[in-house]
Amino acid sequence: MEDVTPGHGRADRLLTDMRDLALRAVVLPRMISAPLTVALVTLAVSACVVPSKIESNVSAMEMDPAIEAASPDLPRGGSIVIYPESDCLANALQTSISGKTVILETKTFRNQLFPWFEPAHVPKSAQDMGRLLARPGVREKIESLDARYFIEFYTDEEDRKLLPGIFCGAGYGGGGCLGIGSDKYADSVFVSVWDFASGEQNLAVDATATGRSYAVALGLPVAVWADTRNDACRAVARQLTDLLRL
Amino acid sequence: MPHESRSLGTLPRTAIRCLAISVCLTACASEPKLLQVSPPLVEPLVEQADAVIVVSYDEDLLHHSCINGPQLSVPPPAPKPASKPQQWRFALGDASVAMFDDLLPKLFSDVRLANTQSLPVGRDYTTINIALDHYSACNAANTGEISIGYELIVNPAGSDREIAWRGAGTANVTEYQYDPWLELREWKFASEQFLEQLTVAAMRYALADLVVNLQDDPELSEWRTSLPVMDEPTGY
Repeated sequence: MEDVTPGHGRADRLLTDMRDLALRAVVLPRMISAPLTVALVTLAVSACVVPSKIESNVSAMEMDPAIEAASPDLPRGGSIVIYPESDCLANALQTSISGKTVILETKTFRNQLFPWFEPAHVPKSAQDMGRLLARPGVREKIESLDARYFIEFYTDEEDRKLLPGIFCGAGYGGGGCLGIGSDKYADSVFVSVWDFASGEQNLAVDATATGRSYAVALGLPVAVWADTRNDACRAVARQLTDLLRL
Repeated sequence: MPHESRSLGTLPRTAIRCLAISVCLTACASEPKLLQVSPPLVEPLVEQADAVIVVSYDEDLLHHSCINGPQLSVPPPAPKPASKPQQWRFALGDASVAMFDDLLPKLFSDVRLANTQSLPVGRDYTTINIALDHYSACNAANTGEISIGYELIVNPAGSDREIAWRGAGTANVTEYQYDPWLELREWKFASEQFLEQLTVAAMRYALADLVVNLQDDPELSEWRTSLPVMDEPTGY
């Protein structure tokens, strides 16, 4: 039943208004801060990565003893060229090599030795490499760039799919995701190393990193990724640094 | 009277509709976008031959222009077609001429353009006619790659024979798969920057093929080795 007493009604309305104001003062910041907190936590957790399981193989070909004997003082380090350009391997090597070794820019190397290291003409065998190094000006140019190792880089990367089990949708009122998902990822990196000093392909290293990514979505998705590609590159970079004494 | 006022009222509306339709049709029939190609300029690491070369360009190469249909698209995981089909006009003449004008003087000591520069007396010079063999961009439906080929007909000095000097290059979107963010940047691939990038890469590979063939093709190599060599290889 509605109270029609004017004085009483005014006092009640005043009380209700004050209660509303107080409530808004407490609830509103919470309403704003809650999604902010969720977003920050999401960002922080999404930046986390799950360590991968690494399997690595090395096949080192023996260096020609005649070359070793002929040049006993030949420094084992030297600048390297990664072909084709790979940020993944270059970044991994950058953290493991000594200050003396330089990773040459692949584009500069290709331009300086045009057309001999264009995709269709990269030497495929020791015979090809020998012929190339015997061409006028080629060995001199490589020496002037102080390039010692030519690292051919191959990768076998799985397509990155959205994690199964997470469903996202959006409408006029907003959008969001719901579910729990997990998937296994694997990345393999293979490198073969040519030594310009000997003209031989003397090392092959490969690494496969497997890991599982997880995601939980309750409105916003929170994912923890397996950084398998970079882990595989880091494993190969460690092997190369040790074996080539970079 | 009401009938008259209704007629008068519909007149401006009809005019507005006609105007709107005309604007739409004009937009649909707009000129195809011109693809601007910057030629790849390189310094080949080869010996420069001491020879007088007279160069002429095939008319088809000089005035090359073709228009692709709205079908240019590439398969997954490569670029998806643009939502609104776009027509492109590919004009390769200027870029090709600039590329050969830059390359040939690095391979031969004295390069002259036919019809514009004086020629040596007698027939003591080699002529090279440059033609475009193929350029696949204009019929590259659903391929994701662009292929370019050039054919140079060499008529060595003091000889009646002709040697075909060919070079071709293909640039494929798979080259861009090393880029971890490829999928996020797919939208870019329907743009002229992407088509230009692929064309320039294909031209560069064709150029590499030409230089390698000049050294390794038996017939070309025989002619080239018969020429005296300048002191130092270019690219030094």
